[in-house]
Amino acid sequence: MAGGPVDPREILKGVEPLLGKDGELRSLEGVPKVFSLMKASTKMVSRCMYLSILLQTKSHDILNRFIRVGGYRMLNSWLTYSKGTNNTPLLQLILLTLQKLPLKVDHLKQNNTAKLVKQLSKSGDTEELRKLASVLVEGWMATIRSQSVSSNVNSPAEKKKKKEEGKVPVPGVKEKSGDEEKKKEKPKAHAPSHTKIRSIGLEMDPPSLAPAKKPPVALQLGDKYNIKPPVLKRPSAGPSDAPPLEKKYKPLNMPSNSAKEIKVKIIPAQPMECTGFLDALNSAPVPGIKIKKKKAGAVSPATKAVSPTSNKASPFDSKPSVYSSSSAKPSSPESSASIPPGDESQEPEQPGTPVPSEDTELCDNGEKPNALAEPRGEEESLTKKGKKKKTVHWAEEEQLKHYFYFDLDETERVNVNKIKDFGEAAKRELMMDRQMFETARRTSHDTMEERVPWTPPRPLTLTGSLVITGANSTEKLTQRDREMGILQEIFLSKESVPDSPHEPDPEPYEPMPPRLIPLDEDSSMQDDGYLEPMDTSSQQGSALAPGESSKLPPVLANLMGNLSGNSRSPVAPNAASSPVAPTVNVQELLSSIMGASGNQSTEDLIKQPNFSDKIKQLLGSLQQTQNQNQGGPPPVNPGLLGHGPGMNNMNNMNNMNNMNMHMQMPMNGGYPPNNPPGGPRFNHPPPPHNHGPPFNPGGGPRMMGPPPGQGRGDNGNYWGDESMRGGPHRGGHFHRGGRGRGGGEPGFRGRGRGGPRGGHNNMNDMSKRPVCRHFMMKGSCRYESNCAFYHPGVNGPPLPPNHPAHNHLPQHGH
Amino acid sequence: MKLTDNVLRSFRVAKVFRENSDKINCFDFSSNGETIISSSDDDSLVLYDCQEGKPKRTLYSKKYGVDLIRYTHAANTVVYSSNKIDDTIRYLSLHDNKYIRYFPGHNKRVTSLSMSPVDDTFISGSLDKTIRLWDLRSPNCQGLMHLQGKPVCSFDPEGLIFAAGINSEMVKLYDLRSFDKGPFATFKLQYDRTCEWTGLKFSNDGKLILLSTNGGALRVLDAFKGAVLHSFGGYNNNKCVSLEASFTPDSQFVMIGSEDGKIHVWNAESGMKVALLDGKHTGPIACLQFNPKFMTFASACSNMAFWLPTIDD
Repeated sequence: MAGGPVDPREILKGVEPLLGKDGELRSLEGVPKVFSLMKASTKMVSRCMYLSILLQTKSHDILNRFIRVGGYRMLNSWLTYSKGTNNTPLLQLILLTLQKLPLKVDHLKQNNTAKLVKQLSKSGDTEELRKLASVLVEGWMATIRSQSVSSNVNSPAEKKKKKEEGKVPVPGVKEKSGDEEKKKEKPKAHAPSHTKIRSIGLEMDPPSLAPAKKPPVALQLGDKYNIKPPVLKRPSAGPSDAPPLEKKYKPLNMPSNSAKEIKVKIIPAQPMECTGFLDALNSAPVPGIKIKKKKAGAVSPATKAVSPTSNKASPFDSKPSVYSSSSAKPSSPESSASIPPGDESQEPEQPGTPVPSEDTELCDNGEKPNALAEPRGEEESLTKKGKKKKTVHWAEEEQLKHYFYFDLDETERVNVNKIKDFGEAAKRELMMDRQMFETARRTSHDTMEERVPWTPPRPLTLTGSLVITGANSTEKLTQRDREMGILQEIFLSKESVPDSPHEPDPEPYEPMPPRLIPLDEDSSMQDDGYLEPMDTSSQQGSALAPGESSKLPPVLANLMGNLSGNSRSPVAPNAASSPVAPTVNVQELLSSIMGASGNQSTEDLIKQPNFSDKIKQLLGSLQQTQNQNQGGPPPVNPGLLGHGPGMNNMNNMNNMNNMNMHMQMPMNGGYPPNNPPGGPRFNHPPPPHNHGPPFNPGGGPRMMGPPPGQGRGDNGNYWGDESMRGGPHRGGHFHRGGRGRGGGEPGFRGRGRGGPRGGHNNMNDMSKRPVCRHFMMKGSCRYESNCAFYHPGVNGPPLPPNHPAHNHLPQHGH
Repeated sequence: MKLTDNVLRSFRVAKVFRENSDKINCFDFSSNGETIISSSDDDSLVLYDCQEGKPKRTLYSKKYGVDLIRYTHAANTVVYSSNKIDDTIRYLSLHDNKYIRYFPGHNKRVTSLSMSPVDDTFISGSLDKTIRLWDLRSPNCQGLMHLQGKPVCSFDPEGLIFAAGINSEMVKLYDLRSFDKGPFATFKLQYDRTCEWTGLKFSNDGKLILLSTNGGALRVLDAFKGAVLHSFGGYNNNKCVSLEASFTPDSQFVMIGSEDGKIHVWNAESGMKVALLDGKHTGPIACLQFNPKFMTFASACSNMAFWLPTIDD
């Protein structure tokens, strides 16, 4: 042994728990452990230790397990290694171990152990080794044979011929071996190069033949598998090996061999069946060996080709010779005297054994030829195709790798930031310059500086606020919930902020017209100091009303009738654009009607056919506003009535329109705005007036005619701008508007009477004064709000239809 | 910490932000006083953190522009009027930078915008001579008032009343619950042809109304009687810029910026001038508001400045 620094005892100690008392492996569980240890061991000492342990182990289970976990493969590598280093003691130990192992054919096929051993059996450094090896080989052959019985039954018959051919050589070889036996050990020297194979066979045979019949088979296998040179050496060693081999072999192999030979003669066909097995066995070996095979094959075919034909007949002859040789062997000097006899004695026994044994022998026969034939078959195919067999095959699946190759698609990506042309670059630069310039300019006189450092501001002490802010907000909750379900948009840089927020989600809703917010108080709402004067006036107004109230209903009814009949379609545009305007117009119309009623002739109506339409429109819109605003007819009436007078004043004298109105609306008579609810309203002409602008559309055309700019100047004070706005064309309207505004709602009335400019608060109602002649005549009066007389609807309630003023207009002038 | 004359006089600029390239036209404190959202003529909205004293976020509204801006009661949403494309009012979630709703109706620039302190109602006045009432929950206009001039309008601090300033001469008070019945009070003021009203604000205690103008005078009204209590002048506004005046949260003082970048402070009760602060603003201080909860105020030209007192009282 190499004898490293490793102390074998330590190793033993290490594996002690796994070992039985004889140093054998105790249990299955220990196998993998030992195996891993073995695998890790590189020192001779430890390797030998483990091998010894295996040798001691008898349990088949454990050994099988050992094989299964890879022990066989490992032994193979050790074998290769030790063979390479000519470590005979280790080789011996390994061989012993192999012998112990319950190897199966599959295992033998796994690697080249069989071949290595075979080689060893011929070329081992020491006799002992060779003997061991050959014994091993024989043992394996037996295994192969026994196992092939089952495995090869199914093999195809096609290869018969080959087998037959194969068969032939065997005898031939045997013959030769026989011959050689006769020649004894000389042949080696004699054999020419081309006969080497045979000579090998022969040479191998002698040792094997001598101890037992079996060897030839193994030898022949070996021939094919193994390299010649070692074989050549063999002869010298062979003789010495033989005896030990025989000791172990004979009991098993000898009989089979002898039986084989007998059977072969009897049943030639059977062997074929067995070819499959050896095919498999042969094809399995490691590539390196195959190459050798080829070489061997390349040579052997030639020799064999010769032998089959020439020797065909001879097998029968040879067999006997074999027998004889076997029998002769014992006599051969090399073999120990004692053993050969045993062999011989067994031989006879086997042949004589009953049929079963024959069957096995048959198989064995088959094998034998196969062993020979198979390689040949391969060799033949090789030679047919060419000298060298080239194979193409895929790498193992695990070794395959995926590679992805991507072509750059030019259109795939575009750098949007890349400046495309010079123009754009120039533009950018310009922009940047401009920006720089602007910031520079901005900051040039920006002397703002932080005078004190920033600290979080301290809370203010405040008296409790009046309300909790947002206490009644439901949208607050809605938005909170919404935000919980939506990710915040976070922008890492200002540049990444989009130019505009995302558009809102479309939201179905029914457009609803807004409720109008009147500029002036509801009558019911009038309040306090300011309004007091108003109240009086309104009372006055209402006082007037009662008398006429009875008439109102029919008027209303009439109005309504008209409205419902005509209004809708024409109304729409007006109402939509400016809901307020229509009311004004209607009121205006009505008032003008009132005013006109006394003076105007119905004929005028006819002259302006389009007028009726206008009225309808106005009425229509009136109705609409009604609906929106006040909800009930009563409020409408007051409005109408209230404004009536004003309108009246404005228009009555000048306008054909008034005439038309008159005609259309018989209600004139009934008009007087006296109904009670109307009373209060009545006092608030301002709303319509204040709405002046919208007013225009309706009133405009009519107003155009008379350009009474008179009163303008009087407005004076604040209203300057108002009057400007009113423009000359508005004439009459204008002062009403002015007044309404000037007076504030309440004050409006009084103004006319008070006359004084500043009298915003002048609430006097002029209705008790005589009606202003000019106002009644022309629809306007130079003095406007300063006029001391009654301007119906402007500084007082509109005139009732039967008002004396209609008749007495001329009475007072000023 | 209480506001006194001395404290007010001690205010100094503590932060200057130059986030905007153009005039800041409006800003609004959140009701908890922790953030400010500002809008600028450069179409950006900048959110500032009033605690940290830092700009927090910038968003753009380049498509529609942004003019008047107000926080709603939800923490992260604002309504603002646009000054491009149309004059629709837009309801924006700052959280995900998405509009929630549009409020179409006005067809000229919106000049005043006020959120109800308690609920989802808001009111807007426009150069189209209308005042509109809205509810955040519906794109429909809830109330409409036609006027003859440029309106100003605002909610009172209780959210029960809204005031409409009409034609720069009248203030009408409406009860929100029955606005369709007309105003319950109307105050007529002396018309001053030299200026127009540009803003109307209630004091936090609801007792005073502040009318700011584009001229050189401010008026403080008694919110109940409509009497003019004080008229403050003496600040520069020759170019008729619309300058925002504000009450302090304790309703004690009235502040306004001026064209020359100075800030004037008066005592609202006595009418005495209290302080003149110079922030060295580069342009007219169009916006000035006191933080509703903390001892700081913000003023803006095209820069935003945060002020802090330098004495502790």
